[in-house]
Amino acid sequence: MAGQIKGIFKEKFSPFLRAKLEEARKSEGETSEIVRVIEGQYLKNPREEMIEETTERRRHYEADMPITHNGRQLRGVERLYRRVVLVEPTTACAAHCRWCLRGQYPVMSLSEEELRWIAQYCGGKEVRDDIREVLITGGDPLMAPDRLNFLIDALQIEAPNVKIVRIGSRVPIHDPERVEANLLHALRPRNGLRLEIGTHINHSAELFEEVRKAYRKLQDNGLRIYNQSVLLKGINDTEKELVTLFDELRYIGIETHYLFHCIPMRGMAHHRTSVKKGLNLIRNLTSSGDISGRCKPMFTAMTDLGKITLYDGIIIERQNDNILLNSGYKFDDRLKWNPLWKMPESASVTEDGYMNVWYRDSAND
Amino acid sequence: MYLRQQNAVYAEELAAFLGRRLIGENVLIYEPRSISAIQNNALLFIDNVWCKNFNYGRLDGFEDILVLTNEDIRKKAECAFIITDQPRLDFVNILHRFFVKQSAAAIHSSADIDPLAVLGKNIIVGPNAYIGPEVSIGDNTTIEANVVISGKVSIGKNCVIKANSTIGSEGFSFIFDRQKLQHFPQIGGIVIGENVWIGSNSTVERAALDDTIIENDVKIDDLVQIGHNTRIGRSSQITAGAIICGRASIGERCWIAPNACIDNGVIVGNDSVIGMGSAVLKDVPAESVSAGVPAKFLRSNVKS
Repeated sequence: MAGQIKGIFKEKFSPFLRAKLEEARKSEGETSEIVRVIEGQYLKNPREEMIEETTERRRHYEADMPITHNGRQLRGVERLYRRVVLVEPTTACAAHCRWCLRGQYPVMSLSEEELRWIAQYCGGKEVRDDIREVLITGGDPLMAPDRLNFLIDALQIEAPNVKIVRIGSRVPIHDPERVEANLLHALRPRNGLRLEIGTHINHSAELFEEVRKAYRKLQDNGLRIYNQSVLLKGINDTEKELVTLFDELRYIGIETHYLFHCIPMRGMAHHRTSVKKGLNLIRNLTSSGDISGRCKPMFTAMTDLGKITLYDGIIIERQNDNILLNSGYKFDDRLKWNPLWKMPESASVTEDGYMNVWYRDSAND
Repeated sequence: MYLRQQNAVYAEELAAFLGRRLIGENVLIYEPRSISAIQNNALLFIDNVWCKNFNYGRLDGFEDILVLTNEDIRKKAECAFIITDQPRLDFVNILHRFFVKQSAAAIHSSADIDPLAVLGKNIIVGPNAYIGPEVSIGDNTTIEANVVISGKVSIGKNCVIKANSTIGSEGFSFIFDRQKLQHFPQIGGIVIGENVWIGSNSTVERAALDDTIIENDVKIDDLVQIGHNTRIGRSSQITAGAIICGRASIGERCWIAPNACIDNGVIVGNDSVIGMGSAVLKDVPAESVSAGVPAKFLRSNVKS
């Protein structure tokens, strides 16, 4: 999840993806599946520049909450949920996915000193009874293995309350050669700390042999890998493609986690399907008998309040293209772990203390 | 001997490191490259003293590169650059900081360092030292002669491990199985923070299952035994002959005087002092002075 330089979210392929694209253009033709999947994900589309709705957001959720520790305001750290802290050591990525959640953010990276402050915050007496998990994302933390190693070491020393470190990465897909000894060392098994990789694979055509090998190396290093996909119009929005994807992931030992509805952010309208289409796909997928229950994803929307999985009865009202979702988040709980949190305008509190939130659907099937 | 270190660093970080100004885009840099093998995401240097007639046309088509140069090249090229009076030296300094690791070859020829061990930069390893495969050592750390480091051990930056010490030996833990003593295999590790000093002939045992932890700025004298699964809080000082038994926890800024013995699992609070030759059998409150056999509370140690 990379960011902007001078207001521009640049087009960026890794040399690996560029080579695969060129090879596929020659051997399989311009209209082949591989070309469609790679171009659809990384080629800059002029529609990104169009503002299609005045309500489109520039951030993917309202986590703009200042976090301070020892009188210092910390950069690159967010806390949306009680038990998890999210850290972004760098915004650097090997390639730029065009629907990037953080494509609208400016680029930045954290110094070792800042990473240590964050580790100290995670182990600080105000939060250490709550925080059990740190999600290291970005950018792609695997782009700078030394920085990642420093952060995990610092968490081990400063925050023994942290039991799980999750690392979000597309490096094995973008640039599999980067999965080498030094990176594996940063991700070595550590006592008292469970390390997991949350990866992002959208289509089985992305699983080139080099990519599979890179994931295998991580697994052989003791890492559990799970996958979060995004439902992308024209890339993976058919039952057949999703069945193949989730089957293939299961064969290589990657767990299916979320299938996200593509969020209503500026420049993404052409990637979005309707929520209904996603729900229908999931219904067909899970009732067809084509995939095992072991690899059914949770179809989830990223709302202003955070993730809401679209189980039965979650959508409680519709007004044109907006749907009202019933979240499992309580207003009072949210304030408990971050008193500075402000409820977004799209949300309201129900009688039982839970929050509802309006979410922008798309009619673009 | 240096090895290439994979990294991804923004041009602004490099400019800040050099204390100089970036002109152009804040591009992302993966590696240093020579001007004869330019690629995107590369750092280059062009010194107009060494390289008088460089053809700037060669930079065309590379948007994401950063050039260290001693002149303003805005009219000659479109890429990002940093003006410096010492492009070559700045390039070398950036290499040291961001893109290389020192390999074991700069170390004493008789030291036995497993190829899987990971060493930071500027590390000194004395004669006959042994460093095992699961060990990582931070920058600027010194490992003196005959030191043995084995098992899963992580040592931070700027540490000193003096001669003949053993870090990561099997912890001492046996259980009776009827008449026979059965060893409890010690398969945990050791995490040592930064600026830690460990004296000669000292031993640090690895944990049974978790980690033995020595926090930042801890100073340990010669002939000290640190048992398995102990935790030594930051800036504490453990003086000669002290014995810290398994699972004990020493707080921060403590002073453990010579020959004191801290029993298994005992917790010593922050800012405490344990007197010479004491046998500490019970937990010790924070900010206190205790001594004797068995150790007793003598007075408060609250500093005004």
